[in-house]
Amino acid sequence: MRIQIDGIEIPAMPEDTILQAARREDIFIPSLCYSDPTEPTHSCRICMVEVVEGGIGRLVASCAYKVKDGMEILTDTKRVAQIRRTMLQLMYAEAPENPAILTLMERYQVASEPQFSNKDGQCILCGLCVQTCKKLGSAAISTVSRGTTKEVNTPYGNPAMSCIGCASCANACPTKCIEVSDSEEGRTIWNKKFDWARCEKCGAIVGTTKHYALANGMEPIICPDCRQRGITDLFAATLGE
Amino acid sequence: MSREILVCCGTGCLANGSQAVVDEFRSVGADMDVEIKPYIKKVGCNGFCENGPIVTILPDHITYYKVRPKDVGDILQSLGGEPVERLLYEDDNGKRVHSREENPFYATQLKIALRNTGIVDPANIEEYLQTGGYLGLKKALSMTQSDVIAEIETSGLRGRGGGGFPTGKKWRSCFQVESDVKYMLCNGDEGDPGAFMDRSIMEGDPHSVLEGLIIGAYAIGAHIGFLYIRDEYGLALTHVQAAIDDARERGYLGRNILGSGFDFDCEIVRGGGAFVCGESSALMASIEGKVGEPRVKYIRSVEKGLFDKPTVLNNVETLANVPYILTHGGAEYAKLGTEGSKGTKVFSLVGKVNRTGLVEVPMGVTLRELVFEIGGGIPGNGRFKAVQTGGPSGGCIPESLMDIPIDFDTLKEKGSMMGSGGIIVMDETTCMVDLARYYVKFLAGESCGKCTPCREGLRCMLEILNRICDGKGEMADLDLLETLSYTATQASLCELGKTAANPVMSTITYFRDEYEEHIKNKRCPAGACTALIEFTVIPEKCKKCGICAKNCPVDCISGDKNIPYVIDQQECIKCGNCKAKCPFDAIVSE
Repeated sequence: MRIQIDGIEIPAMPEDTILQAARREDIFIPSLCYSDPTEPTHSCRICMVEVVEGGIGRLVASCAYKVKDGMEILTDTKRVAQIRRTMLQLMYAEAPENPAILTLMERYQVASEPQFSNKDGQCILCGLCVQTCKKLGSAAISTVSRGTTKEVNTPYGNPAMSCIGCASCANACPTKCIEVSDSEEGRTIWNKKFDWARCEKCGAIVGTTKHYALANGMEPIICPDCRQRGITDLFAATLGE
Repeated sequence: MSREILVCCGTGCLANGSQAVVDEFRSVGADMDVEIKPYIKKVGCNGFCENGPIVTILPDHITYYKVRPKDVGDILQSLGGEPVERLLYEDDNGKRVHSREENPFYATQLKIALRNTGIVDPANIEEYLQTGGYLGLKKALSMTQSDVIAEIETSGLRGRGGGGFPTGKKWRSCFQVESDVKYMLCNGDEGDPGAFMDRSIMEGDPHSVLEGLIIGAYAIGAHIGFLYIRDEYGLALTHVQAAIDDARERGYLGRNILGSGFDFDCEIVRGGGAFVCGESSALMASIEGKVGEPRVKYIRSVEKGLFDKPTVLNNVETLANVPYILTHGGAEYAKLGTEGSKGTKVFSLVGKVNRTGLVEVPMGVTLRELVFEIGGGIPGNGRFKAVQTGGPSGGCIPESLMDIPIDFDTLKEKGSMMGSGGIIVMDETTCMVDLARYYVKFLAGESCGKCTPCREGLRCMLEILNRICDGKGEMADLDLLETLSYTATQASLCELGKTAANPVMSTITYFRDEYEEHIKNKRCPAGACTALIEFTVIPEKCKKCGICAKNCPVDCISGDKNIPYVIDQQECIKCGNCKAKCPFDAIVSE
């Protein structure tokens, strides 16, 4: 199957969304809430493009819209540009001075709108953290409340029982707004304190104790380096015999 | 002759004390002779709620309004003789009318969805059966699935919940999808402010909805169904549950329905009160036990809906029409209405109008007929300004368009929508900017908050509208409102966001001068935006009675019998109480 993005013909696979096909061919379409391994949320809406079918252009979210053979897609029409501009201004108001948003604003030459009042957070509620946590099996965080008061939080804002402190949510976050505080003593995330799991041989940190236990059960804590060295030593000993 | 006395026990009449009226009828009636002892029946909503409790005497067809327990004795004594004059409705010419046919509120109505509401006892399946209930189901079960769908297609029935999608087409698409499991759902999550048509049907005639659901399930091949009803609708929940239990006992639900070999059962799911859960995919997420957020619609729910199985979701009013169509035939139903919109539609007529309530009329009647004939026009000496149709996602229709026929396509073409059928009438004291602000505030609170253009767009639109209403707006704000509206309409994930800008766009289109007046001259022509008005006493008109001062909640009006009263503008909270209470119209707001 072949599709056309801004006049460039690229191959696509039958179940692809426009965004997936574009990314595979290194064609840039802005997107903040989409990540291949997790269930899509289709929430940030910055990836809007125009699909031309039967001579008529239609605005669609490229992360959700499936490709069809011969489909013609335009990523920089007047309508797309207008929506992208307003969306970036809205995101700027929601997460002022956030580097991820600023980068996109610079790329598309968008200035912030002074008439929109700025919020004091950095989260754009894309929900990628929630999907990541769910995918990894913990589901410790969720979106809470609705409308303009919506936020991502743990149940009732208390430390979540199922949180293992893996910080995958923070890694997935496109605006890097999830606070992870690491020190010698341990890690604090989502109001919960975690002890470090340290390698029994060299003392290196291999993650939080809860994270390690979930992945390795009751096995002794050995860091990847020491594990590797152990195998090498074993080989050497065997060869030496 | 034994008579039936029908006491309206819809939520409106119950709130007006109709249970006490029923109790009084039963206790006084208990001592009457067996031959003349009337049968007292609690029925569902009659639609004319502001005049409740409503009592109807059969077979005389005399309807009484605003009945109190103290009137019960007089009514019972009058049976068979002259009606109790003071409880009859007084029409526009001052004539007391006996029957509903003579009452201008009811005279031109045509009841199909509401055919039994206000007539049968909703808690008694026998009564539903006597009106021809479940005959539609019997007929459907004797037909092939495809023929049942064809009947609905012939009727031209379109979804009454807001979208107006052809019901037969929806059923056909789901029927054609091969799957071992399918679901049939009923949407009873009515959430528009001022709309209560679905509630009234569920309260007053739950079996018609249930029968429609079973017929739909048979047509598409579903064996499990859910009725999603908002938890605030206590009486509806009770009546629908009782209807399900009774229908199951009679063999209309369960295994091998009426010996046809078709199995179907259903249960109620209570909605938690989120407006967005009336949206189909959010509703399905909610039934699945997930957060009630919509999902993208490129995959249709007739293919992958509830639990990823083919699903049909129909609104309460749509389903209530289905048994009628099966019994009377689709062609008969299609004789009513307009080319593109068949049948009747139930509207809740509210706002600045003389007769408010629930009204069912054929599609295609004009807004003028609805507001001025059935509704009896604007109260007092008020001047009509506009109607808001379709609830918070609908739009405003100005006076100049009052003669358009009400149907799905015409309303959409004029920038509004049918929605679930809310009609809010406004007179010149309603400020259109303030109205847009009200709806945007409602939607900003009820948006699920999932996607940016709706959540943040509505927040920014509300801020701008607040500024304009406070007299701090700029002309550039209008362009900004249009840009935000465009983005919300084009980029939002679900219908709530896509239609959220309708109140803003339609008021800017039809009442731009009002916006400009707020911005340029810092004036609210309707006198509704408190930041832009001042209440003042006209000294020449003031009779120094002091009524205004007595009624002022913040004691900011001073004067005595020698000096005209004066309002302290610093302290005034602009509640308008003084103006409303002044017997001499000596207080003005500007």
